[in-house]
Amino acid sequence: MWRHTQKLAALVIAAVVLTGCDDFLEVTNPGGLQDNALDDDVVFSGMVFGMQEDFGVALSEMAMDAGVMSDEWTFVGNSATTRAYSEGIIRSDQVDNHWNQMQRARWVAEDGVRRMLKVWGNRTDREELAIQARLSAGFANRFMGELFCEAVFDGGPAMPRDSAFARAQVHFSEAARMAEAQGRTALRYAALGGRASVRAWQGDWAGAEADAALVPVEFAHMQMYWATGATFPSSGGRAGNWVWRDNAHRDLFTVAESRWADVGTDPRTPSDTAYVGGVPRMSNDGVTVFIQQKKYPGPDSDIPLVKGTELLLLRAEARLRANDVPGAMMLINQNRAAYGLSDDLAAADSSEAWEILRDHRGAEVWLEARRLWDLNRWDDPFLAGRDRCIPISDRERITNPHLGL
Amino acid sequence: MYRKSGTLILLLAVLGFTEPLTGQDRNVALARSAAPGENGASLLDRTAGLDVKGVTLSSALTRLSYTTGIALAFSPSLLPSNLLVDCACRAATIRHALDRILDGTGLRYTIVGDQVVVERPRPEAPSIPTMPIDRAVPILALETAPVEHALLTEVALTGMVVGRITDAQTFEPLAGTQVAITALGIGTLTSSAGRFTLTGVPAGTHTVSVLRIGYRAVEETVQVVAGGTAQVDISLRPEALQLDALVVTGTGREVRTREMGTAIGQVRRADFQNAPVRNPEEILMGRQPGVTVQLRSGQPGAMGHITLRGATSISATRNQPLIYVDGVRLYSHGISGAQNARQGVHALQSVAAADIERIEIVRGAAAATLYGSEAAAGVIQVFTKQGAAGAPVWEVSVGTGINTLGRVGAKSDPTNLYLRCGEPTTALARGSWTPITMFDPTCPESGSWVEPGTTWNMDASVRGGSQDFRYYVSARRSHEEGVVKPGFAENTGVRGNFEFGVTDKLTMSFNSAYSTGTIRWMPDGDRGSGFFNNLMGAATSSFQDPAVCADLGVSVDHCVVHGRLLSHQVSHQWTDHFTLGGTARWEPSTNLQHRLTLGYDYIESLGQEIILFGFHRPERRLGRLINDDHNRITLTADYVGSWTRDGLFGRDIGSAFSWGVQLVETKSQDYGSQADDFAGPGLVTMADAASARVSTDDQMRVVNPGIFLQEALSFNDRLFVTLGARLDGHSAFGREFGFQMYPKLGASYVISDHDFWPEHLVQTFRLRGALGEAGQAPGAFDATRMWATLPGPGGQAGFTPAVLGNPDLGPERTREFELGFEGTTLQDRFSLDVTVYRQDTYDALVGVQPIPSQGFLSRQLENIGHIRNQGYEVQATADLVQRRNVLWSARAHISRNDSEAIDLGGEIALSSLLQQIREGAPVPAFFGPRMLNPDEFAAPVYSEEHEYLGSPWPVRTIGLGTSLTLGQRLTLDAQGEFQGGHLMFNSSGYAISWNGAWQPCFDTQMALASNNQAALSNVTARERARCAVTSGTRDQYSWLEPADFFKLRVASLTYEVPSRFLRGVDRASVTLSGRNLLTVTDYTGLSVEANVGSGPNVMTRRDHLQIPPYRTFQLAVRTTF
Repeated sequence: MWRHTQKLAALVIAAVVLTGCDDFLEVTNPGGLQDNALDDDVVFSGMVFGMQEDFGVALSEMAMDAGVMSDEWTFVGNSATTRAYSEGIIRSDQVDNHWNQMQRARWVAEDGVRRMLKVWGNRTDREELAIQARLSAGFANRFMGELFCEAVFDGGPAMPRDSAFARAQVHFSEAARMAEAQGRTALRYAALGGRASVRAWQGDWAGAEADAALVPVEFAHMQMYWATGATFPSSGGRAGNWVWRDNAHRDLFTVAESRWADVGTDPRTPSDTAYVGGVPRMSNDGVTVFIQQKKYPGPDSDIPLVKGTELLLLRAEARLRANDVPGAMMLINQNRAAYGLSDDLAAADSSEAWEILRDHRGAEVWLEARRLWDLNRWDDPFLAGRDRCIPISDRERITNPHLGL
Repeated sequence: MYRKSGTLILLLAVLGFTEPLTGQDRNVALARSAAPGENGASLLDRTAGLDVKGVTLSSALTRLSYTTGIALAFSPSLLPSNLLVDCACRAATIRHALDRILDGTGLRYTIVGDQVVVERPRPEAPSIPTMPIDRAVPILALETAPVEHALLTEVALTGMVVGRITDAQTFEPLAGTQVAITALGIGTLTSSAGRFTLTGVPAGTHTVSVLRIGYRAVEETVQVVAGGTAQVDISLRPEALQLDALVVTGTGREVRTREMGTAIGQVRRADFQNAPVRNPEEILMGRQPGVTVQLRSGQPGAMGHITLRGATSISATRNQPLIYVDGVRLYSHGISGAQNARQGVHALQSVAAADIERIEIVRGAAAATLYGSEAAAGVIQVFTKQGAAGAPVWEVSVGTGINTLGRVGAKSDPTNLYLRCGEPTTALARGSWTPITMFDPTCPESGSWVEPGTTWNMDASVRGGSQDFRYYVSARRSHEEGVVKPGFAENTGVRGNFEFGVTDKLTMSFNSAYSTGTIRWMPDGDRGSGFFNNLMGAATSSFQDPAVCADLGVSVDHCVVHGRLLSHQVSHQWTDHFTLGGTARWEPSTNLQHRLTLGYDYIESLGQEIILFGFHRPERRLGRLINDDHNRITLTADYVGSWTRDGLFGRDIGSAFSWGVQLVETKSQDYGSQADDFAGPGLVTMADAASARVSTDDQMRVVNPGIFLQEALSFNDRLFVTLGARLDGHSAFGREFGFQMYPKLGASYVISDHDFWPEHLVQTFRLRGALGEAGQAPGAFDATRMWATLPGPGGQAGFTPAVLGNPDLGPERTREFELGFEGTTLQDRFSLDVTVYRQDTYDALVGVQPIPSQGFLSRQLENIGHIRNQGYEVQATADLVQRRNVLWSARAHISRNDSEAIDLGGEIALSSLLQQIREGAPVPAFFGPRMLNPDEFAAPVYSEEHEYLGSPWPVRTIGLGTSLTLGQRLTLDAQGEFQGGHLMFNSSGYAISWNGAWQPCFDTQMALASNNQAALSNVTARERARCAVTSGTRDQYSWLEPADFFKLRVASLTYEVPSRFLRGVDRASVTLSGRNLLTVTDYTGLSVEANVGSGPNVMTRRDHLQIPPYRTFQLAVRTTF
């Protein structure tokens, strides 16, 4: 009897162990989201927030470094890479970070659009999230075209930078269409403003003017940053405005020795000299006076993507290209008025008007990662002997089978 | 001369060295060894290796002692002289062999300590008269049965021999040692206090033989007078080479060292008994070739870094050896400490040195095959003390001492890198590079930020038991202050190990331990509010307040207040560690054994960082609280069975077939939270803050199942061949577990057992070789395409690409080939152990850069790498002097490991802190521009391309140790270590010089700033680079320095108090010891072996503004009663 009992017990234990093992060996770890889980509209809100954050990271760092690639401010830190940017040297082995981040922002947004179309189908047109996704894709492509010498999409071959503008135009057009259909006015303005700029960069100044004219002067569409000083560590972080951090918090950049250092009174380029005991404070290098930018007063300061005031200048440039100097000056003065600069300016000729326009556009888009493209478009003397755009990164060239070093 | 000698003699007399010591040590043939701490059941489970036919029982037992290496205690006079026995028991267990040859004799056998005693059963009644014996000294006499009246009448014609057997170096009592007057057939075993009594010894001169496994046998002449008592105290010395010591780590079943094809490192209790070491990390420093342990910090409680041989993987987390304690897997990785500390803690630290009997180290894959896909980096197994049959033996140890820190930084710096602070000091202002003055009114009254810290510890244990139940219970408490106040570490722990004999075929043992520890960290390393970071920041210090100096009437350029840094930042680490293991051993028949071990290990470590309200730095004025809680649970299920046979094919061939099933589950949870901006002082909880958020919430479960089969053949007990394989799965490969096969093959040949061997020249000689594989699995999420979550404002959350995912991932496979030999010569006074090895990690997991324009930026693991480690390990011991009152031995080891990344698929697998993992260089290696004219008096000139500059990890290690024992009372022991062939990034100097606070740079910096060519005419290019005054000319590569060093790791002086001074205790010793005493190096940074990393498991190294490791002096008293 005892022997039978033993055998029975052994059998029961074996059965329990074997059936229990099935669950025991099924290892599923929480944390993170598996890729296929994103093909579900319940996560689309988070997906859009993610694409906006990815774009925010790319833009924030780009605004900081593009500022020294152009003439917006001065780098006073130790980074050899950023120092090279200051000297007009933009090497393909030193641009991985910017290339990667902007590419991720573009890919995430376009991937999101693909997933929405796949899940929602025709319903996509009725969803506000779809507009926001299109806008993210549009702005990422616009910056790809404005800042990078060539474009690459999804592991494909190198393309002319214009192809990024074309891609941006498609996204902005879709966004504008859906926003109009849904009655989302602000989003429509953002889409029109974005499309106005890329149309201009593609040479369609008439189209640009038409779009820009539809956007109110007071309108602004911003890239949101939400970190506070407490949640934005000096060592990094996604959610904050790095232009503020590396200037106000780390003293790595100063407005000193840039063309905007003496402007002072222009509300579009606010800055201030820091003092300690009545003596100007030095920057991180110990020798350059620290002039702090005040455009972004905190880590949660947003960076503009579309502004009605900027579109005034875009329209002014279109007028100038059409040799309509009075028309251009009228728009420039509307821009000035919007900032409380009441003294209207006049230009004796086109050349003078262009000079005024360049100055005003430079102030308008200061530290917004836009000026390098403007300098390119205008073939500005500042770029003489300097690299004019950011090349495809070595990392892309090494890993992409269509490219190579 | 005579006066000096007289003084020496007087001193020796006072110290008790002049006790009568007669006779001479002699080696005898019965010397045998066994693993200390081996329990009785496992002793009997070993292979008997006995094959006798028609021999006397005495001969059979003697032969069994030879073949098994165990100590068999018996009195020949008890044995029937006319009984002839047979036993074809070569593959049978000792238990079976004893049952067989004692069958029908009326004798029985029992286990006492690690010896087997053959005796007659004790009659139950009536009670018999005995000699008066101190109850505190239990007697285990063999002559227990034949107590007859005739014996009593002989008492008047006989005397007694009493004494104590101890370890010659540690003076530890040796329980269970066999003591006998062989010619008379009188013998006994020592008690748990090491004492013995031989009764009924006829008057006259006799030879007392002392035999214990693992020690050299000793014979002593003794004069016995009728009715008198002769005293014989004998100290035993360990055998130089212990071929019959048992090894269990990575072997499937327990095997003798002679059967192993690989070298297994062993550190025994006697090796560290008197050293001021607290845990296995400190024990292992400098003790074994191929085992590198480095101090990462001078913060009390900070973990060290253990490397076995070299990096077998490019990932830091895959280079951690597995840790076992008494068969139970511990969480084997480091755990991050509070963020301010920049250090971590490790489960191994909570295993108290006082509880440890021995440590086995499996250095590479050849010996770790049976551990499967997590063992390529090796295995360390700690064995704690177990109970012993006999009366309770208490051991209490109390120690106290101080921690001190000597000079830090450059010798020409009178401020000692601003650690001295009582008066104004000078630095340079960055930019102008002109002198500035600084003063710190918050400086301690001592005038230095560094002050000696006190340390004390108390350990108590008791062990004892009976034949069927044995126990070891211990408790401890320790407290250690750091050299920068108020840093400290304290620990309290208990352990209980119990063994039961359930039946004669089933034994069960339970090992449990709990410890709780608290560390007060100092803000350190590269933290913005780090102590050294600000202290040596000079004018850039974030802690300045001119008003304080103004109030004091002190006029300086910079009034620094680093006292606020220390008083307003409070960082703690609370760690609780609980381990419970149970092992059942079942032997249903004489040649079939089963062993099942179940283990549970739980460690929780909470790191907390508080910045108090009112903190000096404006951005943290309102305070901050950060909690990082880490939980780790490791479950172990380990079943091993073995079936032994003997006399295969009618020849002297034995077989041991083993099989096993293992399952290890690791669950981890990391939960971090952060709160900012308190409303007022004294508020330090999450609920008190204006904002709080969860910063981390990671959970992970990993399951690693596996089975193994192994066949071990023995030929004449001198040639051994082992063939085995493990089938291993891992949850990282998904539901199918991606089962992999890891094979092993080993051979061992004890040539010196042949009759032809010239034993008079070389006493022992063994050849060995092994080939085996082990693996390392990727991370839990590496195979799956994953998106990471992003926190947002207002409860919003988003996703961003995280891991591209590779469903085809497999484990790394490390194949190791190892050859070696070991031997003894000069009558076993000199031993040599040589090993050469080569490890190749194939399918190494390399993080490959994905295509950025496809959105995922994190590197994706692929099995494309090939990493190689090759080197040698040589270990030697020598008994230099073997006199009665002078024992002097020396030990040395040297090892070299050359690491190389053979193939990484063209990737640069790591690039951080000047270090990279690149093809054709060690893993990792420093890369950068090479200065072409470092010694020229000119501006620096560099190579155009980045070149290999050196390895950050030591290539060569040398361990040197010695032990000197005088008069069996005083022992001096020292262990030193050299590490070399590598570079260290002196990031401290790099940062301090830029702060204008590196005194050796002052003249150069002022000359460079003023372009004083005359002054620069004798400044080398290297110094110009190190002392740069413009950001464009700063050169961190010039701060890479050779990091060769020698450290006196531990030294101790132990005095055994003579028994005549003792009251109520059996034994007492006093030890004066030191740790980390002397460092010899040309390195100029803060610490030559420290490391500051973002996590506890790191590949890269740098010395960056951390508190350097300190010296410890300790006085300890140990008593046994």
